Amino acid sequence: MSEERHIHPIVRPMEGVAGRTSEWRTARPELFDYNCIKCMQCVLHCPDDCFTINEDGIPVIEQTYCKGCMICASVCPVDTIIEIPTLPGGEIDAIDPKSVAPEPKKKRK
Amino acid sequence: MVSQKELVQLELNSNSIKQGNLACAGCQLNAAFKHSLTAIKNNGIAVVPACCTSVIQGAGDGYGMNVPIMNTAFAAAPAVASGIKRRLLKEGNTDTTVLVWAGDGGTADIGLAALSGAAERNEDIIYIMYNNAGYQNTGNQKSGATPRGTKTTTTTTGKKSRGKNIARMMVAQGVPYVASANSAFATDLYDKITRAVEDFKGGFRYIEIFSPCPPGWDVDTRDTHAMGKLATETGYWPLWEAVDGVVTLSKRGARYNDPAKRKPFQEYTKLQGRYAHIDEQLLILAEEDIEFEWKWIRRFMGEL
Repeated sequence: MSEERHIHPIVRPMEGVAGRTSEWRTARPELFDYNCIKCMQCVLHCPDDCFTINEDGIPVIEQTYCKGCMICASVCPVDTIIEIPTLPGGEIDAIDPKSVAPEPKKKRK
Repeated sequence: MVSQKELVQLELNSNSIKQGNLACAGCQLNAAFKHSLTAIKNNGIAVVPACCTSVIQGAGDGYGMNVPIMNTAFAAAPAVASGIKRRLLKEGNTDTTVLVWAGDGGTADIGLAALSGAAERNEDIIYIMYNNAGYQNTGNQKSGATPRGTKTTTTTTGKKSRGKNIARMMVAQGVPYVASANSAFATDLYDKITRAVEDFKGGFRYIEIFSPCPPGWDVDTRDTHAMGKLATETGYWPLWEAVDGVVTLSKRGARYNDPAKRKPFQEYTKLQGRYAHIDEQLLILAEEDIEFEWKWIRRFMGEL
């Protein structure tokens, strides 16, 4: 026993204390960016902080930890976040996301 | 007053909660924690008694929030926070906010004596109670703050008595700053906590946050945000703040002072399984409780 496991009495903040939480879900959100109006409602109200913003200013969903609560889909004013059912395990889609993609809307200039 | 887009940017920068913590899907308490800690700029120490948050933080190699957390016994949280703050002040640290983050069971039932004691000593701490109307992490037992007419595992035919309103008790005790907020109104919540941190430093501050619970209330996870909004729109959860015992209504919730402008209470109850199969007479009494609370608010506003 040369290497003893070191147990610290103090722990620090870290990601994924509950593991890969996407395993919990039965459906996942998919954001179709062509209709996005960048209102950021989904980012603001996501209870698990599972959003980042890409260089175009469009929200991106962090699928590793998304628990699939679908609040983002319910607050989206243009309905461009769509619920995709997943197989047990939360990783593999049960249907093809393209088959439920919303119609592109004309953007007001 | 912060705008929604500014708040989003602040939250992305502060990263107050870590992804993949143990909160249930759709838990509004997690959202409330995110908005509150952003307002404190992660410069705080959270004292958490036994409650849902002590589950959410996780147990093991790390924890799911970005501030130091001190776990305490149920009834001890305000006393522990007072001690931490006094020690910080002795070291000359006046910036760090010490907050108690407790549930409604730990506030309305078990921790009430210690809360009232810390308020009386006017300790320099912020006490935040998130109201999910029951002991949700142990399986939805009734707490003092559970509203009338709801089904829990200990009130299977609906709670018969009116719930306690601790925020009102704190106003009556003369706490310098008391506020009622809602996790669904993020900017309003952010402004209230910022105000508590900056303008009322040095005294006791009490903030109560409405936070819908998907498993306990039997609500679809996607509806928990809508539930919070409806609670304010039906008049069930008024948004107000009180400075030295005088209540002013918040901008977002002021119009619901007029019963004619409120949405029907049934819109709020029909989406929740905990109000299903409850005696109609009891639901009528539950609806009357809304106006009962508003009468108290008008009294504290000096209108009655």
